[in-house]
Amino acid sequence: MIEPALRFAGVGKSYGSARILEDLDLEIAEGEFFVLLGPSGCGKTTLLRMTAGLQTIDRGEIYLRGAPLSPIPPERRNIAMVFQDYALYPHMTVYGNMAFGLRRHGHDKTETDARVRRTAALLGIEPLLDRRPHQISGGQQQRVALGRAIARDPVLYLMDEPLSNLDAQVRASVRTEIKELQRRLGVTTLYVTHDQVEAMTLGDRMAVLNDGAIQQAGRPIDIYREPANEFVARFLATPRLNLLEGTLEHSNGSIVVRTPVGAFAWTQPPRSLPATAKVRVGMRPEEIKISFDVAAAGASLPIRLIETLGSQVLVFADFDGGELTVSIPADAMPHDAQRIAIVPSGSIVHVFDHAGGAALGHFVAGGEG
Amino acid sequence: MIRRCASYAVLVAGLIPLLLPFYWMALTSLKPKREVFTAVPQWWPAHPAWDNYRSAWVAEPFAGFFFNSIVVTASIVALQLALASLAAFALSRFEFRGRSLIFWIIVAALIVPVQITFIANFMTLAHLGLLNTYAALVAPYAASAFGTFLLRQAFAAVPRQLEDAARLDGCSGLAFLWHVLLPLSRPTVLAFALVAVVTHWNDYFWPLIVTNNNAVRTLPIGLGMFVGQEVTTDWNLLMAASIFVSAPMLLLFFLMQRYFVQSQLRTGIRG
Amino acid sequence: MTSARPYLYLAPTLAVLAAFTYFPLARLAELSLHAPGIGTSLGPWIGFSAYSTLFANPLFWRVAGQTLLYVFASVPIAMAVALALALLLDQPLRGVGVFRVLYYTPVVMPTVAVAALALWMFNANGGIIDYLLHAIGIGPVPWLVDGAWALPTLMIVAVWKNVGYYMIIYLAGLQSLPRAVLDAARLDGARPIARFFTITLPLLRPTTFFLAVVALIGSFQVFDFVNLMTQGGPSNATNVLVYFAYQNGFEYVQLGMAAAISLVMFAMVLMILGALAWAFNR
Ligand SMILES: Nc1ncnc2c1ncn2[C@@H]1O[C@H](COP(=O)(O)OP(=O)(O)OP(=O)(O)O)[C@@H](O)[C@H]1O
Ligand SMILES: [Mg+2]
Repeated sequence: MIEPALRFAGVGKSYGSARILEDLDLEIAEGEFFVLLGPSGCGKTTLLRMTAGLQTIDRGEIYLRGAPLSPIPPERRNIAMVFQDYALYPHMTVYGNMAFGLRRHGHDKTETDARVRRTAALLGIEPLLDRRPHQISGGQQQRVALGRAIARDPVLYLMDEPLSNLDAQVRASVRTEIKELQRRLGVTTLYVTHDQVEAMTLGDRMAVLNDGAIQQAGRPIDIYREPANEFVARFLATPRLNLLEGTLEHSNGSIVVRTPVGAFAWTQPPRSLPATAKVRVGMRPEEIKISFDVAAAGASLPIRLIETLGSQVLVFADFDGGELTVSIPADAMPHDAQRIAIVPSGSIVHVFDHAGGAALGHFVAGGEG
Repeated sequence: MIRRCASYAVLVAGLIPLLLPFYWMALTSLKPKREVFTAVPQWWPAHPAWDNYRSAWVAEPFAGFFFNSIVVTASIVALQLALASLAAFALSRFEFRGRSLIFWIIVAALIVPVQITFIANFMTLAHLGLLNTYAALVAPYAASAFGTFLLRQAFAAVPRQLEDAARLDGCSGLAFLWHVLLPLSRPTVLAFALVAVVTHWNDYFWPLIVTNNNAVRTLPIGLGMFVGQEVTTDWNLLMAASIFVSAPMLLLFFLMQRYFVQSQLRTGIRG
Repeated sequence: MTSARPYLYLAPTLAVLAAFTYFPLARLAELSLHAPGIGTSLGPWIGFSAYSTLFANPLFWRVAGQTLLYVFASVPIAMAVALALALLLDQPLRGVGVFRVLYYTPVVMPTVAVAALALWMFNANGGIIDYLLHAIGIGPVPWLVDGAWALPTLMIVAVWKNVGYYMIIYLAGLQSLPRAVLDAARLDGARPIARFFTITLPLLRPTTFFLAVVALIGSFQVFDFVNLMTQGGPSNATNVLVYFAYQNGFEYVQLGMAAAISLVMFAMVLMILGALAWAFNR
């Protein structure tokens, strides 16, 4: 078995009586770009700071290439971190900021100089080398913070929402840069964010953190397709997940999931499903198929509001007991539509346990049963 | 763990030179005269002589000095708060010609302490026939550059919208100062008041220059005279007097210690 | 809308400062340029002769030198001790609050009480300090009676009294440092000592500057301990500028000379502040 680059074994942390992280287990492979996704305040920064050694671990242990980290002080871990608010040295120039860690790690002047200049070229911050942090913009500071980490060759990068302070345009371009850089450098990276787009686009693998525990870990596309529970499904939906009350009706080997907006045929359900049961049904806006040919369909829903996002359109429709959000391509939207009809066939459905919220299954609905 | 123990060790070791003098002062103040000078110091008063405090109290007219100290300190602090509030109000919430010049004129006064100007101030007060009066003790300190500066910083931090909202509620001008700015700046006001009380209660230099008459002398001057007389003999009485002169400030400090340290942090950062 | 109101609010403060801070500077200059008059009136114009007399007086140079020695020895020592204490008290230790309060206590003591206590503790006859030093085989030290020891003794007393104030200011500075920057330095591999010199101390620069200014102005004014403990003696070994001006003004009734001394001292303070500002803003 290959030892993972980074392994969390039963890691826990409390502040006073508040348990922030509980029995966290996670393995990150050598060279992997791993994204930890979670809502604000779920303990992402805490986890990174514990990995860096800036905070003590209350329970469990973190292993770096098989060696327990807790006996090693942060200054000897050879980990580089990009802080949420950059934490640049205000009294040093951009050059000084990048050179500081290199000098501390025993690189001589020429080597340091070469690395700083190479990294600066890579990030396009060469013209800024003689400036102080307060003399450059937020986006530039962010690149410097990144550069400070990249200039070194650590065994591990920790990145704490490094894009959160950037505006949308810069964010998208720096995001691509980070991904390319990590590919090129091949250094194991643990990246935390509360932004699902970053998680989906950056991560080789990702984990969703909530309530101090890992909700699900795996490849982003797998988590997106088969969220392990309601929380994960909800967190990976934009603008929101449609959650409906539903019932399972068994009929000769297949199942029909009945909801207030229609019935969905589950042609190959797993064997272990409960006989008949109330369930909760989750459908993301882009996973619902609709038609504007109301006459042909049985049931239809009145449109309450339409939001145009450019290439996509969000349609909000009322149904008995709630509101449904559907996302469709803009060119598929007739301008005089009053009602929509749900087309079960081809819609994607996530079925969750009514009590616990754990996923019971995911399927692409067949024709109406 | 080792660092923590070492830190405690250093901090505790530091307490010896820090606290020993206090202990020695209290101890001596309770010793009967024959126990003051002993070949081997006694670390515990065998026969506590509480009477020392009474003897010290009447050795000089300390009751009168005490009264004078209260009057003078209270007057100075009240005047400083009033004048500094008004000046800070003007500097922080009004636009007018010469504002920054006036601000710098006030702040620059911080580098001209009374230890430099005392000859001239003495002459002025003598000329006005004010020596040996409360007025002479109070007047030079009626305004505080430091207080004005602190309050200006605090007032300036109150958002503009709040002023607009208060104005719509019919509260403007001095009413705004009194009902909004001062209550909101309470920590700074209290911080400054505490510093001012301690400074002027303890002041020795200026009262020494302008008083030579027991009717207006303050406690530090009274104790200073006691020091001058008793130097070679009654240390127990001198220590007792030192304690009751210091006691109000020590009491104030220990009652408000949290606030005191925080206030110093505040004034320190801002100052 | 400009109105008279802000000027009205500023008037009392400006009036007091004008009367007791700025006008006196001019008055000092006037006094120093005239011969002594009768009572509070001025004598005839004598130009700069008070200054030339002063600069020709070897005692003046000695007093000025002693003042500078006092300032430049006691301030850096007190600041260094204060910084060390502040670093210790900035840690998350149990009971730091109590230590902070205790170390600050001397600051609220009246100088007179501290002087009385110091006179007793450093006393050659029955003083506890000599006794304690004797117990570890040192002394007796002629604290206040020997010319070489008297000024250092006053410095010890001043450091004891002031170190708590400087400590609190440094503590405030330390607590306002950006924690994440210090964390970043740890991950960049800086050990505690290196971290202190490359990050903490440079970031504390504004605090150090502020403290140096306050401490310099404050300790230049030293008078209370001198007047109460040594009266400038033995044989002028502890005479300092404020005391020298006081002596000239009130003992020798040489008001012009006293005014000249005050102004020379003011000029010295200004020059030192200028040098300090230059050094810190480079
Ligand atoms: N020193 C502390 N003392 C007590 N509670 C703390 C402390 N630091 C953090 N917390 C709490 O721990 C939880 C996790 O904090 P953390 O900073 O790790 O969250 P985060 O996931 O990084 O959030 P964000 O996305 O807002 O940065 C929060 O609820 C926070 O209030
Ligand atoms: Mg965070």
